[in-house]
Amino acid sequence: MTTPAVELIDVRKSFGHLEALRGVSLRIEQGEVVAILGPNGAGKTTCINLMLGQRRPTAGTARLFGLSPEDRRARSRCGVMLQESGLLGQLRVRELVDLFGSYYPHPLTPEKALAMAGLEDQSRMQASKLSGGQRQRLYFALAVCGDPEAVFLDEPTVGMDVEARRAFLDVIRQFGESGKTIVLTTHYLEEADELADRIVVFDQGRVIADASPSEIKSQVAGKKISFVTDAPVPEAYLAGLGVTRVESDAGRVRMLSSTPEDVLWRLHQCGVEIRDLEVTGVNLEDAFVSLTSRQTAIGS
Amino acid sequence: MSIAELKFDVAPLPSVMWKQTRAQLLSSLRIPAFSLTTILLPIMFFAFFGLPYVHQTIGNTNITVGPYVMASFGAYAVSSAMVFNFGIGVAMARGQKMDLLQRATPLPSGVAMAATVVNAMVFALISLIALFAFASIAGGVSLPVGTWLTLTLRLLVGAVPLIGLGMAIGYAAGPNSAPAVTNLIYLPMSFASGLFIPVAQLPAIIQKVAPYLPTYHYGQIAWNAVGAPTESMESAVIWLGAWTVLFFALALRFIRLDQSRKFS
Amino acid sequence: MLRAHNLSKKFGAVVAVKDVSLDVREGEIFGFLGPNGAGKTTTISMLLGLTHPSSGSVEILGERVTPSQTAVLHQVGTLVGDPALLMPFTARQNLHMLAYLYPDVSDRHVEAILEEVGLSEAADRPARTLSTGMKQRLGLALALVTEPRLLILDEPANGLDPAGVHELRTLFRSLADKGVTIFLSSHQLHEVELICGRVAVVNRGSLVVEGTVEELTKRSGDHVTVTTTEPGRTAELLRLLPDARDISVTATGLEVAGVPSELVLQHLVTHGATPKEVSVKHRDLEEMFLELTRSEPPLAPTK
Repeated sequence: MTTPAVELIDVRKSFGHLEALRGVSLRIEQGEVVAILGPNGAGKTTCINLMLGQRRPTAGTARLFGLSPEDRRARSRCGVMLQESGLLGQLRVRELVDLFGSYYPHPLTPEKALAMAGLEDQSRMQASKLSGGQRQRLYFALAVCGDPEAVFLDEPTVGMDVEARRAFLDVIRQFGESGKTIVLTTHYLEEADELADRIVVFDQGRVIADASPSEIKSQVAGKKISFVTDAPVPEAYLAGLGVTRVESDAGRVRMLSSTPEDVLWRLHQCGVEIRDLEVTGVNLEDAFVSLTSRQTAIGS
Repeated sequence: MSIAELKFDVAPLPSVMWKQTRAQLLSSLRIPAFSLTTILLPIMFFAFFGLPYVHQTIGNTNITVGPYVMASFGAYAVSSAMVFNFGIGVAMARGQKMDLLQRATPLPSGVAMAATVVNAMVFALISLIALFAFASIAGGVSLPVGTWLTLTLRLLVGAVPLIGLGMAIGYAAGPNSAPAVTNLIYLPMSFASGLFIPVAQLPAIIQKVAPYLPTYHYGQIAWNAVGAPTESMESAVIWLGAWTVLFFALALRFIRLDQSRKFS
Repeated sequence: MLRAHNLSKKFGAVVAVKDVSLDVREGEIFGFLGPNGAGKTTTISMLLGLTHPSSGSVEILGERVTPSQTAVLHQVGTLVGDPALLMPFTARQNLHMLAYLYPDVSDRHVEAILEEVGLSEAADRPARTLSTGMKQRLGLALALVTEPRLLILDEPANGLDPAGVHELRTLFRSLADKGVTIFLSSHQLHEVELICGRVAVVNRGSLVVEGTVEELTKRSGDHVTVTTTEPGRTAELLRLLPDARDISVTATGLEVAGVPSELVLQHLVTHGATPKEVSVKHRDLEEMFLELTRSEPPLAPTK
């Protein structure tokens, strides 16, 4: 067994009265691509902060490549993209990448890091003059410039437009395929679904799920029914069928059900006109909302 | 299953220190408002307060206005560079959350602060050189080489307590209040210490307070270097030493508070 | 409700917006999409009377809107960029201060809005202590509290977690039911696809497409995808359908064209071959968007 990239052993973290993490144990092996999900306030950012030594656990241990996360040697193997960051804005993009690279023992050339982030054209611009999306890419370049083995990304695609986000995810994917460890938090569940081998779901300071995307989706029984119809479907038509999350927008109706045939039969009987019917497995968002709402119901 | 199988390398400290210092210096130089004021303000003050009377003898001493005023504004230049650089610079960096990102990287703690000290010293030195050049060229101030060197050395080394003051402010104040706080503390202090108008010409109340101020003794060691009558250097050094201990203790306390709020 | 006629904006030699026309009807939820730098923000700026168009005009509720004529904007709720909050004051106070300018807004209404955006518990906390998501909710509350007929929102889901985004969708739907018109701009195309009726896409300053979400994500050739563990049997059954054509086997099942999906499902279920999944092959809004707006060359080199 090799040294895990990250280990949290029965970690607890409190901020005054607020218990942010209530006993979390997590082990991430080298080379895994892990997405950490959870509602706001669930403990995701605190978790990453503990993994990186930005905060100390109130109880329990955090290890980064087997060492204390505050050990410079451990951090020399990691690249980080935080949600809250500041830079010396007067420095040019290339200068910043060069500077951050110098913190690492075997950095990439600044040119290579800039190419990965798609910032070659901006290399001589001062950091303070970058647009929001370019700034995110700069933070990414700074995260990878040290040629780290593990990369930690806290909500990395916020503010990016679709193309930038796709390009970014491509680069991350290539990273993952080359054997690097990736730990990422995000609210964009499609991102997590596409990239991650493993999804860890936090809610109220605890891990409530830890499995591959398909396993998590299969934990939520049922299918998603979606169709187009001309007139709104009265609630009464669906009574007693156990459908959940019924949503209806501009003619398209969606819902979850573990007995789709019964639902379709009932709608047919009620004379609802159905077009463009789809019956598919639940997506990660459905699974996620179901998991976290269940948790609230149990915990509250 | 041991960490022995992992080999850990780190970037060598000297090269990190060099790159960080260079980066911070470059960054400061690129803010014209900052770099120009640091260099031009002392020259302006000298031109205003000192140039018109440059060769007049002061009172019943054997020193002329020129060197005296130059020493005054040399003291102003370096002490203000220290207090503002740290007071405002550090508060701003904290406000922009630079420290959060830096801490997540393998940058050793302390390197950024050490780089800031070097940065401040370099700017102080540049502003001194500019001031001395101006004073000697425009004002005809002429001193033995040893005096120039002694003055410079004393001004740079003697500014250490003011670095402490700057750090204390920088870690106590937020980015919005730091400029106001720094100005409120530094300007009256440097004025009351006689850096602008000699203490003897200030109101009686201020004259009573002056000898307790760190910038007062700082001025004393500068004036002593150019030959003006001052308190004994032993006394000045003791006072400056005491203020150094006090300011750094204060700074350390605020640093610990900041650290525990952010990183505990 | 909201009309833009041939809006253009030049900054010196740079043409940021070129001849953009929009027609947003009452009660609809309209999506305004485009990559960063495409001219979205500039256009919205002109819609809000913050910038003078170089040419063209804006009409809201039938009245011209320019930087010197903004009276009608009292009836528009906006949230564009970071919410404009008074940081030392609590959420409730922020709302009351705005409501003060609108005599028809009662205290009870303020409480109802706080409830609607999910801020009732945090209502007495100073705005500067709120997280990004909560600040966003407060921004929404400020836009809603004056009971506007039109909402203009840029990235309304900024900072919200999936549950929050879901609540937002529900909120938008209830507003649309009440006849409120919503004009929103977002990068989260999955959300836009769910909530918007019509969308317009701008790229490089010009409008490249406008239409309903259904039209734009039109199925390519009516292909139906069936996921099943019995592809052989399913294929046989499908061949029995008169209009079925182009039946092909895939890794997870098969595809068939010419027959609507509901018919496919009905047919298979009746013959005891219920598939795991049935879906209609269409491109999602994100794919359509990328096709229309992809810049040359691609942003990051791929191996």
